[in-house]
Formats: sequence, structure tokens, C-alpha cells
Amino acid sequence: MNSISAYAVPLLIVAVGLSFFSSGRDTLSVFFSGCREGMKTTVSLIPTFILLSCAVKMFSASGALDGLCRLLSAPARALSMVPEMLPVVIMRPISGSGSVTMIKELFSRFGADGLPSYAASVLMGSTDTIVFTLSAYFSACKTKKTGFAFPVSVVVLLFCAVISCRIAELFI
Amino acid sequence: MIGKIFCVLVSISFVYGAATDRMTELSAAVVEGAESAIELSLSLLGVMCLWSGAVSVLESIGAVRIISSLIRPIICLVYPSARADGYAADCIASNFAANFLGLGNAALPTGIRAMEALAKNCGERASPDMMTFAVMNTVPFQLLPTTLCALRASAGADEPFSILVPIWISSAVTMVFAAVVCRVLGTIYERRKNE
Repeated sequence: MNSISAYAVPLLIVAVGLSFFSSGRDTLSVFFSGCREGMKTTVSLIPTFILLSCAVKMFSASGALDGLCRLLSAPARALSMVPEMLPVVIMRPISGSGSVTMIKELFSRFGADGLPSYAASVLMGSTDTIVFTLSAYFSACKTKKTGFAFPVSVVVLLFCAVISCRIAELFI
Repeated sequence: MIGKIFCVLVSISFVYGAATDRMTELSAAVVEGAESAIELSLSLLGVMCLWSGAVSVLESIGAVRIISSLIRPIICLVYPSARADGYAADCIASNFAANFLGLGNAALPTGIRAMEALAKNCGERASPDMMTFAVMNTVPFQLLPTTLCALRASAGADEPFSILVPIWISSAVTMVFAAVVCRVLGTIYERRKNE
């Protein structure tokens, strides 16, 4: 199982390399023009990243996370979510590294196999950041009206948090 | 939307920062935020270029077509506009493959390509398929969530990989839920637009 993931990347690179031998197509210039596209896209995303990165750092530094968790523990319990995993649930949509920090904290408090840690791990493994992902995708297309994308992502995340707890309880 | 999120996040931060007397940390955080955005962009630059190039090549030699034809039925079920647009279907397929196989950061460039393909006639308003695609990318199915297993291992878990099956189940269920919700909302959205 480990090997599939480990082999995938080098294999692909070899495939790309082999294609450079094909005399019918000039795949090298295809590669280079793809690269340039990637450059342009990344640079065009910088303004969005600056905006979001500032907001996220401020959010982490301000202690808002603790306050929010306290506010949300009762509703969390009502939804049969383990309240201790709230920091991860709140941070997950906002920041990947922030959620890693939060889950490390859960690991140190409850061990890697305690219920909150396990449930949070399942959540982490099934989801990705909402704010950065959506913003990057929509900025790249210069879309202003994003419709149901953000609200539905939040609902889906909550759904995932609840079932992560249930699944964690089954497997522990 | 991004502007509104920014406003909400910084306002909440300000209120809490004032309440917990962390204004100095907050000021520092603003600058740190700008700096780390550039660090992120720099590290992303390399990977984006590499994968954008690699995927372009794989597309041109038809490798992506193969993967795409394998999961085509599901793609067409979840993204109606991909039925007519083979290129969009290929892009969506390569994004799915990138997430599934854990191909480093290939998910972002392939995702952006797919979004651009889906955005063809949309202007400033996202199409339901674009919204669906974006949502589905917040719950990607990863065969091997390596970062998580590594974290568990370093935290001293007995079996770091015991989390795989629960994650697969959770991922699959969540993806189905997300796809259903998005398709339902997408259909409502289309109907409203046609009225």
C-alpha cells in the first residue's frame, strides 16, 4: 500500500521523461509551456494568499479560537461531536498548518489513540482547507459570485466532523 | 466572498485580541501573515510549475484520457456539463487522480485547470459544476494520507496506519453526501436561472 503512493510520483516523472523521446510531438515545449502557465497562475494567486494569510495569522494570534470553542461546545455535544476536537474542526477550513498544530495538541493531551485525537485524525484525513482551496480556485477563474460553494463546504465539513466521531467510536 | 471572509476573520480577531489583551501579538501577526503568504507562494511556485508541465505532457500523450475514461461515468453523473466537454472531464479526472494518489501538490494545478475548463462560458458567476468541483476538492479522497500517518507515528501511535480504513469510510461517505447536496442545489440553481 505504501509503495503505490511512493512509486506514483517517480513513475510519472519517468513517463514524462520517456515522452521526450517521442519524435512525433514536441513534448518538451509542451512541458515548458505548461510550466509557464503554472508560474502565471501562482503569481496571480499571490494577492489572494496575502489577504487570507494575514486574516488566518491574526485569527490564530488573537485567542479567538479558544473563545469560539467554548461558545460552540454545547452545540457540538448536541450534534454528538466530541467537544475537544472543536479546535481542529474550526481550524480545518481555515488553515492547514493551523489544524496540524491543533491536532498535535490533541495528541499530546489524549495520546494518538484517544477518542478526540482519533476522531480529529479521521476528520483531517477526509478533508482539506475550505478558505484557501476555494479562494484559489475562484480567484484563478476571476469569479466573483461563488453561489453555494462556501456554505455547502461548511455544511459538508460539519457532516464529516460528526461522522468522523461516529466512525472513530466504532473503530477504537 | 473572499473580502467578506477576510472582514469577518479580522474583525473577530480584533475583538478577541482586545478582550484577551493580545494586541501586540495581533500586530505582529499581520506582518507575519504577509510574509508567510510569500513563503507559501514561493514553495508553491516550484510544485505548480512542475505539475503543470508534467500534466500538460501526460495530456498530450493521452495518458490522462485513459484515467478519465475509467471514471468517466461517475464524472458525468456529478458534473453534467462534463458530458459534452471531454477536455473538462479529463481535467476533473486528473485532479481526482492527483488527490487519490497523493501526488504531492498536483491537486492544485490540476484543480485550477479543471475550474478554468468548467468556467468557459461563465463570466463572473460560477456555474453549478464549478461550485460542485470546488466543494468536492474540500473533501478529497486520498488513498494514503501520509502527513496524518506521520503525525500519528511521531505521537507514538501503536499502529499509525490503523486510521486508514476509518478515513476511507469517512471520505467516501462525505464525498457522496457532498456530491448529492451539490447536484440537488445545482439543479435548483439551473431551474432558477432558466426562469
